[in-house]
Amino acid sequence: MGALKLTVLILAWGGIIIVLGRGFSVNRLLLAVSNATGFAAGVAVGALLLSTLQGDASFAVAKAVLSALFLLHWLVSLAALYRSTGEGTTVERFQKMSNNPLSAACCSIAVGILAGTICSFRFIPQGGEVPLLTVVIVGFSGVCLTAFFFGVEQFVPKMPVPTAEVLMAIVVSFILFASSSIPRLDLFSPLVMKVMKLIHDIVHQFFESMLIPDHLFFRPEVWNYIGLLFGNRVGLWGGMLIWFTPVLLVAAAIRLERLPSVAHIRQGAERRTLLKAHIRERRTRLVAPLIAGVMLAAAVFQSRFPAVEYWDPKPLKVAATPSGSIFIPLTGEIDLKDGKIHKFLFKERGRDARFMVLQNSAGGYTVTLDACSICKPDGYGQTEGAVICYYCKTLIPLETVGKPGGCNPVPVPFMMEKNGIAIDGAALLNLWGITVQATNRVKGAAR
Amino acid sequence: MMDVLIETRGLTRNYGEICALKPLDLRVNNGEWLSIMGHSGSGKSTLLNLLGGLDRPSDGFIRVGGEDLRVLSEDGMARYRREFVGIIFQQHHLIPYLTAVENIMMAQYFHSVPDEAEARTALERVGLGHRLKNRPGELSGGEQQRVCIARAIINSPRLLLGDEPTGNLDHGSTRVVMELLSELRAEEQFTIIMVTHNHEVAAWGDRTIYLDDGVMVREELKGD
Amino acid sequence: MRRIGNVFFSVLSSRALPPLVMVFFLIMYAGIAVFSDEALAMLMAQIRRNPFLTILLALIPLNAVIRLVRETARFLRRRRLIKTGRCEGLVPGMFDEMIDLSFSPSLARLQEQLAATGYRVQATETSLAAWRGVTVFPARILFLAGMIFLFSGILFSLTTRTTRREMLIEGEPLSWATGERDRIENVSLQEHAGLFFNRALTVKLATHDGIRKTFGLYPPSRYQGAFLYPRYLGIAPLVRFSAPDLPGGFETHYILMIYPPGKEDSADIPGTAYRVFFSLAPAESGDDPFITGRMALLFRVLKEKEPVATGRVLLGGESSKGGYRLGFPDFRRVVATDFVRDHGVIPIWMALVFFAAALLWWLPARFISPRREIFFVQGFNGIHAVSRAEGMRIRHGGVFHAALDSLENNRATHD
Repeated sequence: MGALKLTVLILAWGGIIIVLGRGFSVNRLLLAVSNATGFAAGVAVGALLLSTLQGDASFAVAKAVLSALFLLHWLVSLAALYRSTGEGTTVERFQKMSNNPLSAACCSIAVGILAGTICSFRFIPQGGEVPLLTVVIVGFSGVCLTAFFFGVEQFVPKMPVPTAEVLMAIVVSFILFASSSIPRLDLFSPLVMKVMKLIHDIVHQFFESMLIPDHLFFRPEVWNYIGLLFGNRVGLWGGMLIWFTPVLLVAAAIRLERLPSVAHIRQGAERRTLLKAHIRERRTRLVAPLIAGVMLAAAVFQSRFPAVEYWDPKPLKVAATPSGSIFIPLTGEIDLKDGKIHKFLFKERGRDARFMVLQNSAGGYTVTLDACSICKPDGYGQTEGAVICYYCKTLIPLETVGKPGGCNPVPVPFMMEKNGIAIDGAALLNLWGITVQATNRVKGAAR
Repeated sequence: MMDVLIETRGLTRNYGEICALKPLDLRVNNGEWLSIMGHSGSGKSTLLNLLGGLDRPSDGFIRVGGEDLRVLSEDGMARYRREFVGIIFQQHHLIPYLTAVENIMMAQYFHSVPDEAEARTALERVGLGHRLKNRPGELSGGEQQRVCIARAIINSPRLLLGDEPTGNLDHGSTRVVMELLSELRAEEQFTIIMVTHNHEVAAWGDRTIYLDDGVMVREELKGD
Repeated sequence: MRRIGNVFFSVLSSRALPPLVMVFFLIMYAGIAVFSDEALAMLMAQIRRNPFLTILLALIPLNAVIRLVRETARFLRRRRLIKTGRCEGLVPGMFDEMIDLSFSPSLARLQEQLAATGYRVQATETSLAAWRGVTVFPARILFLAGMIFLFSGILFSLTTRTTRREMLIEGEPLSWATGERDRIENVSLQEHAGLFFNRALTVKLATHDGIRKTFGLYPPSRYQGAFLYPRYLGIAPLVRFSAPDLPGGFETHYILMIYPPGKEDSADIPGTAYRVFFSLAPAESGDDPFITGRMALLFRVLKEKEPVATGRVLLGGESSKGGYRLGFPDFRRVVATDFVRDHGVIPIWMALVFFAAALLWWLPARFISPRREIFFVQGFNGIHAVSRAEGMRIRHGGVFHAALDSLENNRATHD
């Protein structure tokens, strides 16, 4: 498993170096040094973030940068399509920029910093002192890999001079491929959640705005079709649409570029030869977005099937006292003080509820349902620094477990007693009932 | 002085023990019409195949339009055939389920991209403007051969090779086809090399060479 | 100043403006969604409150209007040019390809050639136009009109929508506005096999001047300029209640939103510690009690949160247990209805119709027979040849090139 993750990062870094090497026609040494410097700096930045920022903040910063990059990728792709479908506008080539040593060095350093930061998040533990030895080893490995891949780059077939958007698409796809191998840096799962929510909001708002009556009046089969819009499948497909659209836009921008006029040539065969050459050149340039698409698909795969082992204890059956209270001792059969989630199952008169107890880093306890208010109650597993919702694959940082909202596990009211935790059984059953009924009614009924 | 399009020195082709073409020295000028005559098995078609890039020599030197055909890669050879040579066969090899214009477009497709308007114009030039949408089976032998000519010249080759193109035609049709070729050569300035058994057909050329058992035995210039 | 004006206008009319504005709002949505579960509602509230955001949203329909005018003018200019056959209006960028021939051959021979390739030809003394296929221009106009209506509708709806909830109770007057003397005569729900709905709700109203009006479910009916938007169904049962410590009893019409059967609602007995929870009992026959009117109420009586009695009471019947009696002699149907004043509803629906029409035009026009045009016109120093295609570009290019070849050959022949 560890080797697999390492391979992903090495592949991504290699891909980035080869693409940059092919994309910029400046001195190889300058590029190599810029890349290596950027990477080493990135490892240091990552280490600093991890040691200085508390809790989830370091990951949040990295994710915000990645999101901004993805957004920029979107805008650049939109601009590319705009340019290539414009009337009377010429397609400006990336050539000038790719020949400029300064811009090449800046781009290489920036990309290096990003890649280095992502790698540091993989290898450097969160909190505490900066582990200098690890930082040096990771940074040095990156520098060595840079040299190695610059060697490999010479054997890679030549590609046509890429435009800015093509280079951006391919670099961003490799970056996202790398970041999605670290669940807490993954952008795709949160995107799916956001899309699910957006679609839900839009459909709801459309019904309200257009004064469309409630499901009471609808034919059940029609309502079932509408209900599909609330499932996590739609979130997944909608998320994929947003995920892949920039690359598709870049591909469309290339495909929709007007072929140069050959009307001035008076020999048919010559005209056709020229047209064929243009069509072929255009087709060759589509290879880059295709590679970007494949890398993004690989990122989606890693996000949906993360190579992470979860702590997922079997729920322990508990019963209520005659007064209706469930008491869970802090130590005993289960030790609640280990910072791991512990799951319990409470059954009474044919109704049941699954809940979990977690000691947080501050030493306090939280009790939550093993379900959230959005998804089907598939439950949570624990991974490094977070719990993951099995249904929508969203990561919830351990610090926010116990707070309501979104895909967070639904908090359960409890009493902290001297040697344990007391929960009202009836309230728990009701809470579970309401939550599960709400999430099963319309949302995600597909699974 | 006319420039030389084809030059061979000691051009040889062996098939195992059999020597189909014995060392041949030949020069053909740009825009020239050369007829090749000889009995069956004399090496005419072997020479044509070598000139058309359909076969490679066993030995000797062959240069066409500045390209040394011995050293061309397979891709280079394919490009040479595609862009440099047009061939008319005795059996016209038209695709039976495509119309005349589609048969021409097929040749354009293998060359670059199809262009229907240009294909129509080409058929109009060979006098088949009224037979555009007919399939080969609905055309006479002479008309089929004219479609072949249109197909051979559609990609503006510099060298047009004919392997007994009138072998299956009656006297009248033969004359129509030869006149057409003559007109097109005047307009397009391509070089023609045509293998034939027919003296009358050979006489359309500027020069005729005679092969026998793989050896050039005689050469006649027009008017000799 | 003029330059700034030009820049402002070119930004306003740019094709890039609507996607950029939409991306901006999408980012805003994503930002709000980090902190709130009600991101869309909050975004809408922000747009309503903040004039900058309102104006930003208004740029989209404004842009569509400008583009509609500009693109129509451009289309008409091109048509006029072809119709009049004069070269004065010809400017670069009007067509896809433009070639200037330095000679002036006769265009007459081209007519036949172009007609033979399926183009319609029109010649004047100085020009020759050939075209075929259907233009996608109407689809573009419909699309832009759809954009204008959609975003104007959204804007109107965001800024001017007002909603007021009313209970429409059978036999009761409308309490709202001038409707005091207007009375709900009847509320009925029927099974109805529609395309989308399987229930039909009908509300009959008698106005003070004796006119009867009927309101349905969809499309929404209007009452004094407001749309009627039925939200929930309920009943107003007449309930008689007496308890050991309330021997005199108590009788009132409650308004209970207890439809569909199983849904619970509660009401206090005023001046006492009693609270009664009601729900509709599902009919054993499977029929809908709201439709048939044959209904039974399930009830739970709580006294200071302690359950003291439960039971089931049929319409016209009474339930009695341990000194607690609950009677259900009569009921009226109730519809909780929103009276919505919204000038955006109709434009948004119209926009959807426009978009559908645009798609229906665009698909066949673009893929079956796209518009292709060739135009030769006599200029001062020769012939201008231009060509344009909305699809099948390479094939059309072939026709254009063949026409140019033919002109060149004619010249060679004449020379």
